[in-house]
Formats: sequence, C-alpha cells, structure tokens
Amino acid sequence: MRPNLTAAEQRSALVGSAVDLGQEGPDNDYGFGRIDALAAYDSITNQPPPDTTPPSIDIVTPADGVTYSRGQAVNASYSCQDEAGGSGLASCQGTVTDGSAIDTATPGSKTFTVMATDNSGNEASVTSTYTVDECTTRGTLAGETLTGTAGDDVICGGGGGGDTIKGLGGNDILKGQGGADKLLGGTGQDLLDGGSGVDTASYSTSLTAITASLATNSATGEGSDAFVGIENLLGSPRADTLTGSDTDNTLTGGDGNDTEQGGAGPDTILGGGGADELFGGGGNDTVNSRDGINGNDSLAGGPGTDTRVTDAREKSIVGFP
Amino acid sequence: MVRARDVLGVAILLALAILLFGIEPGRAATEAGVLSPGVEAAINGTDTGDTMTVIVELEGEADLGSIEATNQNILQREVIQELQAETEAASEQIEPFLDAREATGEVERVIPLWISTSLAVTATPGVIEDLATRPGVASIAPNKTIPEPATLTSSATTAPEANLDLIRAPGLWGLGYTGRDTVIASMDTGVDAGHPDLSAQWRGGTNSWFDPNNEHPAVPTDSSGHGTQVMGAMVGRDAGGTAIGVAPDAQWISAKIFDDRGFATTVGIHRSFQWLLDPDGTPATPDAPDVVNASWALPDPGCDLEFQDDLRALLAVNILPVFAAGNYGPDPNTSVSPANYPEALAVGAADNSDTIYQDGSRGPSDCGEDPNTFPEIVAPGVDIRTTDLFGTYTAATGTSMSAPHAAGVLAPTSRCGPTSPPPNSAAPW
Repeated sequence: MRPNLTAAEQRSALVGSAVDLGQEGPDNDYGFGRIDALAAYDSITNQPPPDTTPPSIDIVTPADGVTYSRGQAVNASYSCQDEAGGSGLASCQGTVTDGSAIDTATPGSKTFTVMATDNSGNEASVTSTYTVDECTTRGTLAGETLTGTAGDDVICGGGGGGDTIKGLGGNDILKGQGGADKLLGGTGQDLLDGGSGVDTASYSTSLTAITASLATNSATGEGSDAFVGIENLLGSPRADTLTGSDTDNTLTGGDGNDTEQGGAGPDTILGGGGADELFGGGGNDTVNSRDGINGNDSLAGGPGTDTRVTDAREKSIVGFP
Repeated sequence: MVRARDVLGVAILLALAILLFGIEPGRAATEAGVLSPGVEAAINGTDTGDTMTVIVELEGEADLGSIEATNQNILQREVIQELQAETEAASEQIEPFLDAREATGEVERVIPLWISTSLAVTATPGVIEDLATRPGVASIAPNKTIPEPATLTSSATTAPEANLDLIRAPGLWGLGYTGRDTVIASMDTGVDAGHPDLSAQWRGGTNSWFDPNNEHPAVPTDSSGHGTQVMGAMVGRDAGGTAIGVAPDAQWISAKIFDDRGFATTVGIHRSFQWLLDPDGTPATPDAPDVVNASWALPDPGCDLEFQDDLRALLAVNILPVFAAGNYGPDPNTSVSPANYPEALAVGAADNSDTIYQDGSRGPSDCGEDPNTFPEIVAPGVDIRTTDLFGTYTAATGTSMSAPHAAGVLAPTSRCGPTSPPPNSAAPW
C-alpha cells in the first residue's frame, strides 16, 4: 500500500488549494496561502477521470474520394477537437498545415492524413484519399467550351453533357468524357478521346487539308492526331480525306474538294461545299452531296440499301436504289 | 574518541570559516579543492593519532530519472538498489586503501551514505588528507554539527482545535480520511512514545525507530520535547480532551537526528534520510513512510545544498519532504536550507487568525533554483496545543509546528486519487 499520488501531485494538491493570504497571489510571507485540508482533498478527488478518448478530426478539404485536376489550387481545411471534459487538444497536424495547398502536382491517388493528440497522450488519425487526375483543365458544366493553351494541355470535359474542347497548339490530350463532345485538337500531336457518347473530331478550324480515318483512329494534316472513342469526323475547309470505321459514323467534309469513305456501318456521309467524292461503303448509308452546285460531286452508295440526297444533277451517282 | 568539547570546538571553527570565507562548506570545496576549508580546519585541530569524521563525496551520480516502475513497491526497491549500486561502484577505487588503513587502525569506521553517493569516514587526519588526493573522490566535507530548533512554548491557551478547524481537518475526517493505513515519519529530537496520545500509533518493530547517535537504539525517546510536540500535531489523538492531530489514525516512525544534548551531525542526518528510504535495510520490503516531516534547518539562513541528493531520493519514491520554513524572519531573504531547496515543501507559519508569524523566515529564495517565492505555503504555527513530554500538553509556536500540519494533511491525501474508492469504516482503504 503506497501513495496513489506522485510527490509532484501531492505538492500541487496542497499548494493549488491553499487559501490565498497577504498580497494577491503568491508572496514572500504566505507563499501560496494557508493550507486547507478539505480543499486539498477536493482538488484531488474532483479531478476529472482520466481521459482515454482520443480527439476527433474533421477533414473538410480534401474530402475522402474527391478528384482534383492536376495543378489545381486546393487548400487544406481541417480541424481537431478534444471531447468535452477531456484533457484538451495538444496537437492537430495534417499532411500540410490547415489552409496550405495540398499536393495536386502529379496525377494519381493521394492520401491526406491528419493526426491529433490530446494532453493525456491519446492519439487519433484520419486519412482522406483523393485523386489527382491528369487533366490540367477540367470542365464542371454540361455543354461548355473548354479552351487550352498554346502549350501541352490535358483538357477534360467533365460535368457530363456535350462539350466543345479546343486544344490549340502543343501536344494536347482532349478528353470529352460523358456526352456528345466536339474535340478540336489544333496543331501538334494530339490525342482526342471522346469518351462515352457520340463524339466528333473536328478540323473545322484547320488551315490545312486533313487525312483522317476512324478505321485507323488517326489523322494527319493539322499535326498528327490519334483517336479514341471518336465516332464522327468534321473536315477542314480544304480538300480532306475522311474515312469511317465499321460502325455508324457521320463524316462531314465541309468546304473543299473532299473524299469521304464510309465503312461497313450505316454511315451518314455529308459532302458539303466543293467537288466531293463520297462513298457510302457497306451498310445502309445516307450520302448527301447537296451543296447547291449541280454536277460537281460524285456519289457511290456501295453495298446495302443506301439513301442519297443530291443537287438536281451530279457528276456521278452509282449504287443507289 | 572525540570528546564533547572538541566537537563544539570544531563547530566554532566551522562557523568562523563560514563567516571568514563567505562560502558554504562541502559544495564550494569542489571548486576550491577537494578538501573543504572546514575539513582543513578540523584536520589542524585534531591530533595525528585521533580520528575525525568527514563525508567523502564520491564521483558519480545515481540515475534516478530513468527508473520506470509499474507500482510504488517496485519503484522503492529500484531507487534504493540504484542508489546503493552507484555508491558501491563509485567507492571501488578507494576501497583497497580504506581496507588497508582499517587494518592498521587508522580508519575507525566507514559508513556508506548511498543516498548521496558518499561515505562517512572516521579516520586519522593523515588518512583524510591522503583520501583527498585519490581519484574517485569528488570532495571531502566536514561532519557539521547542527543544533536543534528552539522550542517556544507558552502557557497561553487557545480554543482547542482552532488550528485544526481553520484548516478544515475535521471535514477530512468526516469523509473517512483520518490517516488510517498511512505512515508519517519525523526527523527530530525523538518522540515520547509513552504519551497516551501517541503510543498506540507507533508502527513498532525494529524498522520504526532510528537513532544515528546510538543513545537510544531500541525504544523511541525524546529528551527535548520538540519532537513530541511536532508528532502530536501530526498524529495526536484526543486523550487530553480535545483532538490535536491532523491525521490521528496515521502510524508514525521517527529518526532521532538530534542527540540528547540537542545536536545533530550531517552524517547522522544523511544516515537518517537513508534509513527513511529503507527502514529495515531490505530494499525489497516497502516499509518507507508515506510522508516525511522535517521541522529543523541548518543553523543560519542561506543556501547549503548538503542534503539536496537526499531530498531528491525521497522525491524519487514519491515522498514529498515537508520542511519547516525556519524562524529567521521577519526580514526578507531569511530562508534557510534545506527548506529553501526546490525539492522541499517549505511551510511557513501563521496564527489561527491567518496573521503571519512574525519570526517566520521570508523569501524570496534562489537556493538551487531561480529566484522564487518563499515559503511555499503556510499553516497554523502559533500557540498550537500539542503533546509534550511526560504525558502533558503544551502550546507550541514556530514553523516547526506549522510543517506538521502540512504533513498531516498529506498523509491521507497522498493515498487518495480520482480512482480511489471512498473510504468507509468497514473497509480500510
């Protein structure tokens, strides 16, 4: 049987509960005051029970499961709290200090951990896992226009809906993601990734003629591009060569003397202005050469039951019912 | 053998040395040389064939801070064993020399003072001087003589228990905290164990009484009255018609540091501190007291760290050393050692109306610490009705009487804590 209290606790119980005498506070006559047995006892027994509960932690930013764009400015926001009647918060420290920028420099899965301790040494730790995607620009709305820079961009449509994404110069990656998107890679070696929905690779702003193929998922002319998940092609105002794949494509030549070749699927081939050569290929295609000019376009329906839309007279029309 | 006159002579020489050099014997010696001036003076005053007693402080310090124990009993044992092992290791270098001189009769006695990593050596002046040159010896300090505190008693009768009412001791009793199952120790002039208010609470056995002067080796005795008065304020009961002690159910043990003529020596005090840590000389049995009261001080105000290691050892086993603040007031800066060590709880005195006791020592103090307020706390110490010799009662005054109030409160409260079950009469706690 030995004391429950350390010598330091015994001292503070006596001194802390003393009745202050003389000048206020400790002085050189009465010290901390006159001893009070009952108050000393109270000061010991009324101490709160030992705190065995760790502090709580609330991470507002980054919330668990969220995705940020690469390089996006995101400031950490979190707080810690010891329970009521606890020993009090001793420390609250996250991967970065509250209010400072979190890591979005590189794509991938990231963790953000906040550790807290109370004055009784109980520790708590909460971790948020967030993702930094590779997008340098990320859309938030449906149907918006997202425009990159002259340098290398990764632009993501986000937000669902049909977006228009312009890569401009540089070697860009354009991700349409949900919705029917229109992707304009611009110059440079671009990757156009339509994602879900019926998406279009558009060269409507190209200053040079384009050779684009959905069969090989590539295009040359305005730089050199690759396609993923692209269903439709829109040519430049120059003499383009557009080739479809075995699925349902819409090939739109626009101005210029274009050559358009549908694949096996039921394609829609639109010649637009200029003296175009339009081939429906397999499948039940719709081939449209109407540009208000008689006799300049050639149409070939190919196998299947094809439909044609022409001017009053064309240069050549074969393979239609 | 040293005759009484010689002891006094040494004491006077020491006092002169303190006045002349303005330094403290013992601690200052490590800077000025291994032999403190007090010891040099004592050597010069001792015939070559006679012996004298000094404290040989060894190089080395026990590492008490790193001791981790899961309970108080283990803590006590480990602290004692660490202290003893350190002193044993530190004395290895000079042991062959001491053994050889013991064989020739030049060394009369060597007592390990493991509480302060020292040896009490009784030997010829030649041996002492030789020791001073030996490796492993940090310093050699004199065995100083300390007179017992003056007892101020008066025939004034105050209302019984006014001092206890003031500090609300009866309120503590009402909760069941009467000191039962706790042990209070005094370092004093002894205790009159035959007093009806004290006799039942002596712990008894062979580990509850220590007389370093060997005048009353077996039976608690007090030839002064001071120690009996102090003990009465701590554990006295109500045989005289009024309750007089703060913790009337506490047991007591005591070290009679002052001899029958009223003098203590530093060696005897070191040995008494050491006894308090391990009364039965067996570290594994936890028989140290819960509380230690020391109503004594060095002869003059000032700072002398002679006993700092001893107080640190007590703290290491969770014993808070309660010291009378001293009676050197009312001027400022009249604190006295050991009360003014940071390790001690220095208790000043006030009367039962909370008016300061005029003669109590005042602060501030910077002994072993940054300047700090002094005393640390006050308690009733004026005309305190308490036990006296021959079964009588008296009214005693001074900080010697206030300190036991603090010790008496500590005895039960040191045992309670937030998780203690409340005591009741059926189940001792």
